[in-house]
Amino acid sequence: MPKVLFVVHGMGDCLPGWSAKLVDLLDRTLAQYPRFATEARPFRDRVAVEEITYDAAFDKMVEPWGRQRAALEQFARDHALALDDTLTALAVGQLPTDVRNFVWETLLDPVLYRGSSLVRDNVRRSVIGQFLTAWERHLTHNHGAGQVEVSVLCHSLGTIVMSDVLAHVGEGRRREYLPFSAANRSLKTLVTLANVSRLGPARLIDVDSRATCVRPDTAPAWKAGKANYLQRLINVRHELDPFCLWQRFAPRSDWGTRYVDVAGVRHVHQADTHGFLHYLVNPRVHVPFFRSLLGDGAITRPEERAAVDAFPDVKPEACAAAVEALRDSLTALGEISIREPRALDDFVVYGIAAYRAMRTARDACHPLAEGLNVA
Amino acid sequence: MWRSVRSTVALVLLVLAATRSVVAQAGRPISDDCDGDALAARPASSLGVAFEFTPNRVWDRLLPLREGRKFAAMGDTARATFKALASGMNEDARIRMDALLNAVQQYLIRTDTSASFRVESGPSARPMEIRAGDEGEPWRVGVGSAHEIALTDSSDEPTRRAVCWSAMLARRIVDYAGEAARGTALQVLAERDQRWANFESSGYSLTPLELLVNGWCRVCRGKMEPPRAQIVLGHVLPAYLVRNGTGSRAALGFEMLGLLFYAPSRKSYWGVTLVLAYPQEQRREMGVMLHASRLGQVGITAPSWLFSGGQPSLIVSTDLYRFVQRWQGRLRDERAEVSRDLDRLRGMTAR
Repeated sequence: MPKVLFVVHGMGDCLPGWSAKLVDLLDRTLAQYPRFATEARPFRDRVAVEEITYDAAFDKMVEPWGRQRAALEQFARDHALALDDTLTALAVGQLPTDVRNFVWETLLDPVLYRGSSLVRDNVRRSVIGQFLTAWERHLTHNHGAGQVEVSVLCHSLGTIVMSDVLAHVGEGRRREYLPFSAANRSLKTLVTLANVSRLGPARLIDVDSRATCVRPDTAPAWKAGKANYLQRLINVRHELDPFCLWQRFAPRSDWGTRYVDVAGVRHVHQADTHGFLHYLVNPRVHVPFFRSLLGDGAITRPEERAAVDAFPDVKPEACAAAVEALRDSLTALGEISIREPRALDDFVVYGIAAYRAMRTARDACHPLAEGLNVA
Repeated sequence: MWRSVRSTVALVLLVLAATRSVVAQAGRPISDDCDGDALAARPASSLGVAFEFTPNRVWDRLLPLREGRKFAAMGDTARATFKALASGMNEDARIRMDALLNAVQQYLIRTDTSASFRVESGPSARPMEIRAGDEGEPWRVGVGSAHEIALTDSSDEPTRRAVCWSAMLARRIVDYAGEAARGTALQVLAERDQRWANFESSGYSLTPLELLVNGWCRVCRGKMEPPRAQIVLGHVLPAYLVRNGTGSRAALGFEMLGLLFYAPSRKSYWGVTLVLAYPQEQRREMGVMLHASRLGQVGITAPSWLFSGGQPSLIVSTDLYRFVQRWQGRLRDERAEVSRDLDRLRGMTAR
C-alpha cells in the first residue's frame, strides 16, 4: 500500500496502541461521505497507519525519581537518619512523590523537552528511528507501480517533536539522514493540529519551525538552492485551544497555495478543546486531511459544504452559555500583550477567570466527552 | 458510384473511430495513467500492446539487472522505455522528460561507480516524483527543477503515458538503488538506539537537577548521543559506613560533585565524586567515592578533609553493601555446612 500516514501523539500518557481510537474515528468519519459510505474499504485499508510513540523516553527519565524518593525516605526511616533542611531539599525535595499524576504525566513532558537537551535528543532519536525504519519498510516492500507517499498527522507536543525531527532529517543535519533528506525525497502532507512548535522561552527553542525545510514546495526555498521537504502543510488551530493562545505558528512570508491554514475551528463538543480527536471530528479539519491523502476528489465541494453546515459549533444547547463564557475568557486571555507592564497582573486575573470558566464548561458539557479523549 | 459510397462509408467509420478515441481519452482522468494504483487496476486488454511498457511489466523484465545491482543499466532501460512510448507525444514534454531522465541516470551512474555515494546518500527520487494536482490543477513531474512537466486530463495519451509510466519506472529503480544508503542509515540509528538503551538501563541515575546540568554540558556527549561523561551534582544516596569493630552504621551519602566516564557502548562506567556522609547520630564525614558501573560505589570518608583526626570509614553504597552481605552470608553458610560435615565425620570416626 503506497499511502502511509504517520500519527504522532501529544502530551500525556500514550502507550503503544494509543492510535486505535484515532484510526476508529478516521474510519467512522470517512464513512460519513457518500463515496465511502457504500464501499467496504475503511480508511485503514486505504492508508497504512504507522503509530509513533515517544512517551517512554520521558517515562524512563521520570519514573525512577518516584522510586528514588520512596527508597530514600524508607532508608532514612529504617535507620533513624535525620535530614537537615538542605539535605532534605536535595535528597527528596527535587523528586516527586507521585510521578503518575496529571502534572508529571502531562505537563512535565514539554517542560523536559524544552528544558533538557538530553531528554530532547533522546525523544528525537527515538522518533527518527521509528519514522525512518517504517518508511524504509514501505519503500522496500512496495510491490506496486505507485510511489510511496508519506504523510504525517501530529498533535500538540507532537507538532514540536515532528517539526524538529523533520527539520533534522529533511535538512540532512547528520550524514545518516541523507537518504531520507529533502534532497532525495519529499513528504506528501504534514498536518499539524494545535501547532505549538513555537511555544516556550525563545532561548530554549533550538529549531525555529518557521525557518526550516519543513514547508511546502510553494513556499520560498528554506535556503538558496535547497529543496523544501513538504508537498503540503495543513495547519489547524482551534480558536479556544488554551495551548495555542500565544506564540502561534505562522509563516513569516507567503508560503503559497500548498500552505493551508484552516480557519473557523471553534466547535466545543467537549470541555477539552485541545483534544486530538476533538480537532478531527470537525469537517473543516478532516476534509482537507482526507483530500490530501486520498485525492482531491475524495470529498466534493458540495459534500464538504453540507458537512460543515451540519456540524454544530456547540452541542447540546444546554452547555452553550458555559461555552460562551469560556470563549470570552479565553479570548481575553489571548489578547494580553506580554510586553505591557500590567501583563502579569492581567494574566493572573484572566487566567483564573478562564480556569473557572473551563471548570464550569467541563461540568456542563461533561456528557459530550465520551470517546474523544485522546490527549 | 459504388466506389464513392464505399469511400464515404470508410471515411465516416474512420471519423467515428477517431471521435470515439478522442472522447474516450477526454473522458479518462489523468490519474488512470499517472496514479500507480489506478494504472495497475486497469485490465491489460484496455491497454493493448502498450501493456508491455507499463512500469510493472518492465520492472519484472529487469530482474537479471536487479539481481546484479546494475543500476545504470536499469536506468538505460527506463530511458529506452520512454523512447518507445514517446512516439507522438508533445515535443516540449519530450525534451523535458529526457532531461529529467538524464538527471536520474547521472545519479544511477554515481551509485554504480562511487561506493561512498552508494552507501551514504544514494540517488534522489525527486526528479521522478509525480504530484497529483487539486481540482482543476495539472499533475506535475519534476517539481522544483527547470524541467518541470505539467499534465492535465486533456493531455494526449502518448504524452501522459510516456511521462508518467517512465517516471513510475525510474522512481522504482531509484528507490531500489537507494537501499544500500538507507540500510546504512538505519544501521547507524539502530546502533545509537542501543547506546541509549544501555545508558537508560545501565547508567547512573539522573536527578532532575542533574538532567538539567548534563543537558547543558555540550562537551559531555556527541550530538544525539547519550553522555560519554556524566556530571554528578547534589546526588543523595543511601549508604553504609563500615568501620573497624562495632562502629559500622547506615548513612546518607551526599555526592556534591563528580564525574563519570562511560564506555563507548554505554554499558559500563567509572568515575569519582566528592562525598559527604551523614551517619546515624554522628557528625558528618567527608571523602571521595569511586563508582564502578552497577556494581556500586565505594569510598573513604573521615571527620575532616585532611583525614588527620578521627577514624576513617569505608563508605559503601547500599547495592554494594547488600552484595557483600549476601556474599558474606553465603560464605558463612558454606563454612557452617563444611564444619557440620566435619563434625559428622569426626563422630563417625570416633564410633
